[in-house]
Amino acid sequence: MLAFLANPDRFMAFSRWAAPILGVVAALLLLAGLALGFAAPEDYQQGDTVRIMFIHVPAAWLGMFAYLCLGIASFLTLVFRHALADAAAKSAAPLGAAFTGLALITGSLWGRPMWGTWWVWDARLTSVLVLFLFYLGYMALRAAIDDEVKGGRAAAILALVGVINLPVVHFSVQWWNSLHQGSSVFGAKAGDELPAVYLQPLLLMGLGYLALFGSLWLVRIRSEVWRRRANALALKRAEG
Amino acid sequence: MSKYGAYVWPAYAAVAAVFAWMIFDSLARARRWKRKAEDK
Repeated sequence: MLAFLANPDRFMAFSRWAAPILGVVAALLLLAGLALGFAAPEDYQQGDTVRIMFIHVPAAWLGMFAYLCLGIASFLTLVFRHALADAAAKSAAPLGAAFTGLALITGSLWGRPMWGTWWVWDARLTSVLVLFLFYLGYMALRAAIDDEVKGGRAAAILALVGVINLPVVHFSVQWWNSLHQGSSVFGAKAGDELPAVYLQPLLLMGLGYLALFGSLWLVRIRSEVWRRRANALALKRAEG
Repeated sequence: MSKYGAYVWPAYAAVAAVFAWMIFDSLARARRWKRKAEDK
């Protein structure tokens, strides 16, 4: 699949129909997730703040998933010097930063009534903040270097360094004594699993976020391909 | 929304605002660069 899409013309033909389809799928999943989420009963301890979980947890998942995509695309950029992989890495960064920023904001809005504080320097929160800073660093480094190829390669190295943070984010609640609760979906301990009434809207929202990321990622990679074609065209004209 | 509305609604508003930005910015970029790339 990756080899097939590595050809820019094939990628543009594929993404032309895949992006809008994923966009429609995202809208349907998010609407269904919202409907089920607001129909779910209040939690006996958290009250209505449990509804923040339906938008917070998927944002954290996507923040990490987008970084994994950024890491893989950066690896392909460095090893194969493939322009489309570089475009994919560049396009994933702002979306991943947005999801991670949302995880931080919504987590803070949940933490204030439940923990009594907007922020605590806990291992999970701090490692997610580090993830957000890696996204910002990646974008800033790219923007700071005039030579696009050199900037892309330097940023790709930074992105690969940041991949080390992903297992830290995931396992932080196990490795350290964390205020943040442990996993209640993937790899949850017996007794910690979410009841179906909360799990269903959460999974629908998670899939909706994933489809939205997929759709917008494709749109942004297409923009990047067009931008590079437009710049090549402008250069050709300037050279006469 | 009981006593927690002051936290729940801003969280949903933040998601709506960021999603709106992501969608608008992605589509605007695509439209702009497509036009420039096809400007022969």
